[in-house]
Amino acid sequence: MEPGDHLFRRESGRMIAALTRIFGVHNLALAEDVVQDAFCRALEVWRIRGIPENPSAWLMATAKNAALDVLRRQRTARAFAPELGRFLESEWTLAPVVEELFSTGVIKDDLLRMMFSCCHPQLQKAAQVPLILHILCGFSVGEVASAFVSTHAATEKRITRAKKVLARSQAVRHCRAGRFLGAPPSGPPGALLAVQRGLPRCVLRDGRTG
Amino acid sequence: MSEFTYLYRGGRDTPQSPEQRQRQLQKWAAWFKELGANGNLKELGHPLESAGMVVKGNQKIITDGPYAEAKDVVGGFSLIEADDLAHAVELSKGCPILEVGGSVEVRPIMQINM
Repeated sequence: MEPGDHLFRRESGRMIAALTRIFGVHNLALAEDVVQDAFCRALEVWRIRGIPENPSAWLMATAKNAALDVLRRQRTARAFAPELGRFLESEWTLAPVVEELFSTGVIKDDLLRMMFSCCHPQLQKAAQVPLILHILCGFSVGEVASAFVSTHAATEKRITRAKKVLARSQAVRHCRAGRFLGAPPSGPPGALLAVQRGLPRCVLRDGRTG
Repeated sequence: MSEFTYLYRGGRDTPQSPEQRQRQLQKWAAWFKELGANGNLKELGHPLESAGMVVKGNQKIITDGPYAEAKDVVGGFSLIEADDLAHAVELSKGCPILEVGGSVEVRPIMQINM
């Protein structure tokens, strides 16, 4: 791998996006756990065997299998994405649906969907861009803090609070019900402007040189 | 030249950002590359799953395991060629696992002349 290649950073957002689409945004923490596990596994294998020819596909396959495991094990215990509920309940449809949700084109949509979720009006404005940078762009809390000239503790608090809102908010269900544009009109457009203003600066600076 | 085994232990559960993981991986690649370039790498070896089974005693009792502490579980191994144990130990000091709380156990492979 070239030193400039940000594989883990790039893939973490894509994996989170695909997994939250399946699990529902309210299960963001579960999605993050699955991604962490997949990364741990990758590191354990790759550090000795070297990086495979298509590391992205390797990671995605690992995340996909982990998602299937979680869905099978916790099918009755947890509520996942409600609009997918019927398909995730039956073993006949489970694998094909998850397969489809991990296809490249769908993941692109998932990333956008998740970005809208992160801009939901119930989330503190000041938390929205940090949340996107952290969850979807794979920046660590420390990196986000330094991009916003803030402290690690304050940034962490902000992100944690926002995640809690996502985990319990009823209104956010607009987003996970597939109607990511269905949120109140005053919310996302304004927030998206903030994203447009805020994102490129950080991503370009730290994404390229970090 | 004698042969040695490096047993990699621990260094798994440290929370890492994507950036740190990337750097870890690059360090491993660089370390193995250097070992290989100097003719010290006999075989990359393999990573090991942390869970397995243990078969024990005459009764062949089978248990889940090894349930060692995470830091004591062997996560993988490599085969190394070095002048002597001291040399093999010296080479192991470059292993990136040492930076994340792990350890390398250096064991000479028994030389048996049949």
